[in-house]
Amino acid sequence: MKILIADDEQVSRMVLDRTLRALDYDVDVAVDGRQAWEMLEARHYSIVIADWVMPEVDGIELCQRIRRANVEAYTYVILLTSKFEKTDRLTGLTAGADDFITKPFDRAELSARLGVARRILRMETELRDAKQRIEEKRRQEIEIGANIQRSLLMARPPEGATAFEFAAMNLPSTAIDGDFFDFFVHRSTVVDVFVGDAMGKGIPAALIGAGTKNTLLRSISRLLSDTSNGHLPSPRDVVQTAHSTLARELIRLNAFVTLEYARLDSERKIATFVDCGHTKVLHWVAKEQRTHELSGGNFPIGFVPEETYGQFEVPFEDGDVFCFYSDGVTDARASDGDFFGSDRLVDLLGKHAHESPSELMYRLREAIRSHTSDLDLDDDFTVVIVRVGSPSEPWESTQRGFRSHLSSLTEMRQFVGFVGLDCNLDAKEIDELQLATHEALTNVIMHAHENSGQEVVDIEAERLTNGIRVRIVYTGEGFAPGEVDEPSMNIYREGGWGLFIIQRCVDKVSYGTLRPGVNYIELVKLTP
Amino acid sequence: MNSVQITSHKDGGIVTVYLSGQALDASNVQRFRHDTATMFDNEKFFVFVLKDLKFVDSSGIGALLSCLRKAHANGGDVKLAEVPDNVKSLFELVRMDRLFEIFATKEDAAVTFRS
Repeated sequence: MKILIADDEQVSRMVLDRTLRALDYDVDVAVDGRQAWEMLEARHYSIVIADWVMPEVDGIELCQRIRRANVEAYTYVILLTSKFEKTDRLTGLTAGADDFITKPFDRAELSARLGVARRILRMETELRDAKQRIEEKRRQEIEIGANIQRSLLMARPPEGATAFEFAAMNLPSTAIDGDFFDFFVHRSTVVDVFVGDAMGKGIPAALIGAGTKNTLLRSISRLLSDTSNGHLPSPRDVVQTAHSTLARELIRLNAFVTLEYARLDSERKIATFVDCGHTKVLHWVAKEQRTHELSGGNFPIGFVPEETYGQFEVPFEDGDVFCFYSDGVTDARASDGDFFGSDRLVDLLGKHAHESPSELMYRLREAIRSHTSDLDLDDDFTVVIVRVGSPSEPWESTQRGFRSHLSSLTEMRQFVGFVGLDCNLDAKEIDELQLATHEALTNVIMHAHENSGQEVVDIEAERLTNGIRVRIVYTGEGFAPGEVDEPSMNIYREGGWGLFIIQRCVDKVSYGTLRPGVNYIELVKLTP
Repeated sequence: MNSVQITSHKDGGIVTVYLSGQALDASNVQRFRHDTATMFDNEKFFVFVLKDLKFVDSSGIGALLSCLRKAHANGGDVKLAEVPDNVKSLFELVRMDRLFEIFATKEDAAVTFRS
């Protein structure tokens, strides 16, 4: 424990120094307030004993500077004074002094007061350490929760249910929620979709969500193996079976799960729903050009031990759209507290229902982003969109040409966002793909075309089994990447991050010449 | 061309600067540099609020860094607040989060100037 003495009176300084050394303290000495401040800026002192009256920087000023410095570890300040009126003490306390000692001081008193200082400093250190440990634990918990969410709670849109087009997205909130969804493809024309939300936050909610999802999938499998005649178990039976496994456990844990279980059958053109207290499903009816909100009347799973689940049926046609969502969507709030709400969602669906689910999802994500100004979401945001009918233009590869000018960059990023969603990239993967493509395009526009606006840049996208390949094709001078430096922490550096960003944001980058005068940059982004 | 909209107001010696637009990127960074050229002449302490800025690229980072440098040269500082996730990820990627202090709210950022 290091002590700094600041006193301009030589005798008093020497006496203090010797006394403290005799008490086995490690002591540094400053001859005035100014020197003391310089020493305090250079290193930390646990205790400062400063004379009240010093030229230029006096004890009060020193005290105020120490408190303003806002360093992490506490400095305990004792003011030395021969003046001992009440007002002085008030001034000292206001400036941030912890204790006072009168000159000439009594050795026993000094020792006792330093004992107090040490006790307080020890408590302060323990408190700070405990706070750090809690913060670290909390950070770890968030990370574990986010991993559970990615690996156990979410799913990629299904392949094989070719009578439908799907898009699914989850934006996790800072506190982990128990949102989950999955698909079960019976045949190309029949698919089960379920979306749920385990109440509560953090890892417990995530684990309950994962357990519920697992139980639902096992219930379907078990019921399917019990039926022999090719009949599918009804959604009601699936939920009932899952309930019999889950309900008592959930009640014991004081938890419950809201769930929307749906079967979409495009041969019979019938959708069957079991709604267990979940948010309403939106159904865009193409021939009416309007949206219906669908809800049933079952309790959430885990509300009551005995529940007989009911289901309801809704007819649909090609071109209809179903939108399943968690309350994190409608509860997304702007900084002024305004909820995104279901009206905005219905409105957006109505305007863009004719577009592909991926495009619709992209627009929804942008709308939520701009509504909340991209502040952290309070709740998880989960959306599954299903459009009835085979994709109008299923693409293995697609491309679009753009005028090679910096003003095209926004449009280019938007195109990359669409194709990324179509290839099942998640929100973060799309951000990274957009950023990498943007940096590569900026290089092409500036260096190959000098931003003339006379040339054309083609962006080609190719669907991979586990990701997307984006190829930027351009005429003119090809450029090869130089060495990529790690970005330095240098405030004077203002550029050169482009290549580094590209390499970090996608899984593979290659450059080459397609034919004389036509070059390309190829970016591959894989989904795990 | 869509430029970054800059509005600011001063309160207690701290200038809060709101940046909004589709992007701060290669397409408008020159304009941004021009628009902010004299901002640092007479003021020291800045909080840049980025919540309405949808996208920032590497040249945008360069321009923000140049603002930071001008403020430092004057004995001041630029702190960032309400930074969108995608922009924050970029800052972390190029380690600019170690040069800029980033705060959840503009009030949090302003407080650090006052203490």
